[in-house]
Amino acid sequence: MPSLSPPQDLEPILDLRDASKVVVEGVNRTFPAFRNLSLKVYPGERLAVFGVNGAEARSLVACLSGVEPLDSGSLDQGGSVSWPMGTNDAFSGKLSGYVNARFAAEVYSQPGEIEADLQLIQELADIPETVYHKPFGDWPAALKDSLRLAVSLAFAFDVVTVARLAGWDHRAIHPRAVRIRECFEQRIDGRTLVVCANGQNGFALDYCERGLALVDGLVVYEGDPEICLELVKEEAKRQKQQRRQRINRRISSLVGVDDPDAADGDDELGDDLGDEGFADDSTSRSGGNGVLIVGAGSSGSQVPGHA
Amino acid sequence: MPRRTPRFVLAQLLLQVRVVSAVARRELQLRAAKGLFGLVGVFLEPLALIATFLALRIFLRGAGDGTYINIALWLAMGFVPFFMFADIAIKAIGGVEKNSELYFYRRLRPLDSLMGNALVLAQIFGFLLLLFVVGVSAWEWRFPIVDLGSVIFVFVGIALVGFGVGLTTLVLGKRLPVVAWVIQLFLRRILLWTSCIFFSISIVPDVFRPWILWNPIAHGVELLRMAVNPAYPAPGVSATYFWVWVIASLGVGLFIYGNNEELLFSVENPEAALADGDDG
Repeated sequence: MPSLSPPQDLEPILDLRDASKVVVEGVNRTFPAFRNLSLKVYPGERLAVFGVNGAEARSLVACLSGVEPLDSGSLDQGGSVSWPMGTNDAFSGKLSGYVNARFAAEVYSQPGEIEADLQLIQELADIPETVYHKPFGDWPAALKDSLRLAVSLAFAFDVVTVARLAGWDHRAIHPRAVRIRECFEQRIDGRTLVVCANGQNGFALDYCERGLALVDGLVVYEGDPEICLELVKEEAKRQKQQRRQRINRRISSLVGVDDPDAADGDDELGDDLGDEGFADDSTSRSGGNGVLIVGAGSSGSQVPGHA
Repeated sequence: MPRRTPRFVLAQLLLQVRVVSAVARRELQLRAAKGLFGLVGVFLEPLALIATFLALRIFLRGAGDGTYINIALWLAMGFVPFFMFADIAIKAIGGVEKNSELYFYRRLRPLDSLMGNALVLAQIFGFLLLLFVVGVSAWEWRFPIVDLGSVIFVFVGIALVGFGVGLTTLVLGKRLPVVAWVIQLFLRRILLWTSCIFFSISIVPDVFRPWILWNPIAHGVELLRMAVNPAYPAPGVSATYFWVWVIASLGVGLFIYGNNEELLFSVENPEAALADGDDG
């Protein structure tokens, strides 16, 4: 397996050893997010995690940040690690955005810098004053995302992890987007970055120099992020094709068409799965026969190897 | 790892105080946000419970002559610390799962949230006791407490016993859930009747007194009343016994917690959980 040579003179800041994690999907299905994975991340490295299934990559980043426990194996963190940027499960919907932000500041701010950090949060989030003091649960989704992102950016960590950046396009030239970019680049300057690339490939390619491709819970490639992306795309395409064939076979058996390939002409099938929709497709359509099959994926569309 | 210089230790201690205060404030704000009457409701709820017990006691057994202590203050000195003790212990037993969302911030440990919860409960019940003291002061037109320092110390001591018992039960209950269930039952039922809340230890016959005086809360409650009026009779009550309980329960609780902290973070294996669900 190709790999970037790690610096020999440094201790890893994140050291994952023989770790496994199972993710629950839907009501009664589980699949391994990663299996027996050993990974070292060194100070200053910028790592992007690409997964065929978005949940694999997100779960690995969450485990590396420490917000999700491992099922087995161990993780050593050699410094302070942020929670996955763009998420925040500690926010209470009953409390106002201001109270939630203040609580985070009281836990993470340097002594004497709580007010300055709160000011930075308000500036980055750009929340109207009238909304800021209302219960967080009543906020529009876009404003919630803004506050989650702003609170993540307000504090300095040795390792910055990024899960899902909603409400900010890192290439935008809008003054607020530029201000967030400045703040983000300041936070990662000289520090370690771990990014979940699913759903934000452009961001991962722009900021990371090392990639990790996860397929069915196993690392299939570690190295150039662009190659990781291509590998994952190829694998996703292959899995989609397999799934399509399986669904078509099922359709054929249901409607009595002998040749499964006869029903294989619908190229649109599965294209509406979303940008990272490799996990499940609960609604599929057979164009050849004009039969609408709802829930076909739930019985037979498990991702290969995820049974 | 940073060197443990006095400056470093002081900084860590100040950080701990700040984090626990933040958790306590958040808990108070959350209770206010969830309740019908906001912040006032946070104090009204336990006050209503205590007032009901007070009214029942006075209705059933009369107000007494109040020889040593005003009857309302005497009862308040029993109810308020007892409910504080029970609430702190019971909240500690179930507190980790209830506050699990807080551990998203990795700087927060379960102990911080438990301490924050205990602090906010001590503040609420301390405020209620103050209300009774102020009320009685206004009624009698004199300050009714002779030894205010002892009242404060014993009150804090009772809170610490509750915290220690809750912490110990939390960890033991994680290993043996039946322990948590039994202790919760015990705290609410048995201790309510053996903590000298409705009666004075002096009216208990000598032969039965040891059946009451094993209970550290009974000692704490009677010590509080003695601090209000040193002439108050409390045979067999020992400050030493009470403080040994405070130190022992806190020490044992912290020791057990320190050696089992990771256990509190453990989650059920999803595959096993799903298999259990299928079986059920």
